[in-house]
Amino acid sequence: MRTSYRYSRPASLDIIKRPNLKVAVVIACRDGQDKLDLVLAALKEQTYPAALFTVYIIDDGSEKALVLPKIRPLKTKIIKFKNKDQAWGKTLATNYAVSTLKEDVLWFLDADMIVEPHHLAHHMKWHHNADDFVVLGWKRFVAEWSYSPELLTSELKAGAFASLHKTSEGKESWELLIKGTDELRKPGLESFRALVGATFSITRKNWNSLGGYNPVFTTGEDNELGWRALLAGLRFVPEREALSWHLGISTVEVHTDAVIAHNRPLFANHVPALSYLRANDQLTWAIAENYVVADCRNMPAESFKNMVNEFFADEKGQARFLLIGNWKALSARYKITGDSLKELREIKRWIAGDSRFTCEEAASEKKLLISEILKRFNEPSTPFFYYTEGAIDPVVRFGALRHRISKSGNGFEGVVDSKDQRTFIVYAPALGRANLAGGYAYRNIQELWGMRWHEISQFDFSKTLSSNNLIPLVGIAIRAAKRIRKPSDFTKLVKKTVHVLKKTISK
Amino acid sequence: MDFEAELLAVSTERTTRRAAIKKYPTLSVVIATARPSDLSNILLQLEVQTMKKFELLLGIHKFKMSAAHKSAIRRLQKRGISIITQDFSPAHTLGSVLTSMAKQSSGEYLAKMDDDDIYGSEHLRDLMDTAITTGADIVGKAMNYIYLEAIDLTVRRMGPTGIASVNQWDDWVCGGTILVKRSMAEAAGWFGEGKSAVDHFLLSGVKKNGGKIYRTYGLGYIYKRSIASQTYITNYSKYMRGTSGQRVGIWAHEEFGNI
Repeated sequence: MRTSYRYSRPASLDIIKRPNLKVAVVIACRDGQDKLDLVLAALKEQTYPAALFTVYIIDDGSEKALVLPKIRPLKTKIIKFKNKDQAWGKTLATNYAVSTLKEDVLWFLDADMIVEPHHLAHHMKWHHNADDFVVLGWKRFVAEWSYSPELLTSELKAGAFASLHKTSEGKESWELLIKGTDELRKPGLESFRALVGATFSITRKNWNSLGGYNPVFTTGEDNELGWRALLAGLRFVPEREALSWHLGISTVEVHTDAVIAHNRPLFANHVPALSYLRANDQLTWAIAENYVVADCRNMPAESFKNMVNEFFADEKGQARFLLIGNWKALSARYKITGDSLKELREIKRWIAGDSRFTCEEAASEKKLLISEILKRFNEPSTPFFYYTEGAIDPVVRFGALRHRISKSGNGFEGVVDSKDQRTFIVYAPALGRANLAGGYAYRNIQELWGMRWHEISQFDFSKTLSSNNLIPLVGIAIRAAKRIRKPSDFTKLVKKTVHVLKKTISK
Repeated sequence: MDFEAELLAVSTERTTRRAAIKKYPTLSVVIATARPSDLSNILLQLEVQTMKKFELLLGIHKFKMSAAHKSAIRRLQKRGISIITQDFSPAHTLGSVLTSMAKQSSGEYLAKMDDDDIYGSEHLRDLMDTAITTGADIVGKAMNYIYLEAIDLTVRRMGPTGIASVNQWDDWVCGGTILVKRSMAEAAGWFGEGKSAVDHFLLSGVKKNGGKIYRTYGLGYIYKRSIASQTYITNYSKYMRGTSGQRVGIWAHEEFGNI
């Protein structure tokens, strides 16, 4: 079993002298042959053994078909992604191409990235250490460049990578996120943004288990993958020694408002952590923040309604429910005046028209074991899982459980009431890491993250989460404030802050 | 007191007590069992007891021993443990099974063990050490470790008062850890004839007769609260009040004989 606690990892690693993992370098590209030629020239100078990596250039329907230049790594191939009406773009092109690859590790690189010769070696030292790392390369943006592939090659050979550009800029919000989370050793849910597509690597096994990029994202696909990777318990490592120059200022920086407007609805739907995007909208979101497994055997309909109404009061977070019961028995003949399944029948009738509920037939009369419950927490984009059963004590507030888990930092907090009924919450990244470790997930949550059970009278249900919703927003505002370069930026920030706060508080 | 401090305290106490003991009195162990799987488990735990000699009185209630049970009993006999077994029909109560078996005992002391609980290898010897050095008529363990099957969790409870307090003269010990002078048990009417509360019957009887009861550390014993197999029904949530430690599964440590 893997034994690292939460996101702990070695302070640093040396480059592996005799590596053995094979790497697929995946570059999705549409036009831009000139930049691509430079990218390939830099890749040719990688110190990671050329026999262990293959570069796959995915031609995403370039107007002028991409060709392989003279200066390129030993093994470089072009995969043509034939564009059709509904099949085009980096996301689909990448998913398609990667599905054909067999290498151990996938390194995703943008087609405008000039990498330092040890860049790949610095990624790979982590993947040789453990198989649950997502390694993020370090990059600086440059507005101008004038070197040819030949000149770039000679500069790199001369060890002059650092002096290729005298002026450059970093992405400050990203760098602040890294710094503010102790180099992602202490990430919060908002840290999913750390995964950006310019240069990151992940094992093919983990890419496959995540299901690759979400196909509905034509941009922002990297961030959304980061959300699922974080919830799956993968460890993000920003590798400051994996240096690179990004040719050109990023699209997001240049067209900020247009990009944000384009991505906002999708992120609102798929990343519940961005709750401020959901404010004041009465829509049903694709991904709920909460997933509730409720054993409805012996659950009074009134308890059931109290429970769901608490979750439904959170219009931004929302919830989905898996209801366990002996539902099949409801089809048998019964009398209104002597209905032994009265409560269960009432529950079934209340939810009849609501797609947020799924019913599961109870396999036996026994209560579910904790391990059986944890196996049902299988919603890859949902950050919080809950279980409850029976005649839920009226004192129970699920928001208080959420508050407690946020405060304690544990991966699991549960209460047992005087009728021996269990109610608990699980933090998805903790469960993700527990599942990755193999063996008994319940024990892994305790040993690798932390857990606590409480007797119901000793649990403080008076506290809920509302004030905590603001904490990530404050962090974002501080990071944004540090990026102010001109007076208009300040005005913009103030307007935006007021807008977001209004929406958040209006909950 | 944290777990590490408790380990040290018990170890020190054990060493001190054993240094003062030259010879152990004779001991009988009485067990009533109604579940084949629990019988298998308790026989394994008896086999590794560091108490060299004792007599085992097994009341088999409502089932017949399997070949595996008989094989485990032969292993115990090879270890020098003398064993008496007796089958009891469903018409018998738990009290009548225990009392009937206890009456057949020959040891100066009588230990009662519960087939579904968990005992470390020092369990019987620690109890005998305590009985000899304190002179108590009954010794037993505090309820410091409880396994709650419904949440697959062992809780550790320590405290200055109540059933989790240790090294105290009191009128209560965990029923599965009772060690009593045979003469006192006999005078109290053994375990009675009831369906339940058999431990209370003995403890209160001895107390009424002027006997003294001493409660020692619970280390080495885990009281198991199974989902629906207890002789009486209470809620388990009460065991979760004021816990000083929680571990998923059965608390794993050599003191509990499980690692």
